[in-house]
Amino acid sequence: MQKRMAGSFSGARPSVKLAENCSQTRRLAQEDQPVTSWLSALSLACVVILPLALPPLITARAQDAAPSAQQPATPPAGQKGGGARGRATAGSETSAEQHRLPPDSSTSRWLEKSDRLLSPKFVAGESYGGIRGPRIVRNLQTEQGVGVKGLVLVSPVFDFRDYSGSGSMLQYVASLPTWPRWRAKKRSGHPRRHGRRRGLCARRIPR
Amino acid sequence: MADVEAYARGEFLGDLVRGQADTEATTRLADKVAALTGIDQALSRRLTGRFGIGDFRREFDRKNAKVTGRYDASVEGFDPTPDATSIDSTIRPAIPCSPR
Repeated sequence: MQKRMAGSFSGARPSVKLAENCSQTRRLAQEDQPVTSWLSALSLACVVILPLALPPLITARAQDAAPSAQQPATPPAGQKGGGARGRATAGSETSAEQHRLPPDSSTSRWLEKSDRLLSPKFVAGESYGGIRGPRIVRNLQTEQGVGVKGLVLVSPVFDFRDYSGSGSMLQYVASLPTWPRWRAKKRSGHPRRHGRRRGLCARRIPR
Repeated sequence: MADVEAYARGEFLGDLVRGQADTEATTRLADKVAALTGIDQALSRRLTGRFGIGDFRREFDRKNAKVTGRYDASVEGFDPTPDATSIDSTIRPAIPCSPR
């Protein structure tokens, strides 16, 4: 099965788009809906049906991994976004590659068990996911024969020298414009001073 | 904000590259950063206008002894130990699982 999947999917490079917040992530995922509409309908059906049919452990994962119809097929929690850290495999680290991303077939196993091999698959990564997301996609496509339709990165870190520490002067160039924005925002009325506290996804970041 | 972005990419970067040995460039840069952010000019000069994220969080609303959130500057909280030298030393023990 895996070989067949490799043949049909791994030739195409996944698209990469950057999102600044959760709603953008959902919009990007929507833009990347599969060409045929029956496929997404099938995905949605799977999302609804699967939790009932699978054993408890997988059920929990499926629930975690399928919060909405906008994510046609999300890998199990172990390979998601900021929490995409690979599990430690004691005594089996033979290369740097393995050390950084231990072989983990839970995604492909989950896809196979859930009959989702033909569903469009998106990998979403936030923060550290900027480093891990592309590695996971590469691993899925080259090692596990799982084609990935898109990679969504939310506020990703690509190079820590551009983020903080003493490595690069560009960190100051990148962060300077943000700070006067918050000052202007504060002057025009603190967004949190009145009103209900909203969730992360609902928050609007001023431009 | 286009003017700030233009400044950051142009004059600001130029003064950064000159290095801290160039006191004229450093003072110019520090004063401009202080003016843009509202942070105390003397402090900005001391930090040579090179603010880390923690520095900004701590100094942005120093007047009210408030610190801003790490992920969202619209969230503010009281600085538990405003006399400490660094923000990390005050916040981190309070939130054991917080990312650095």
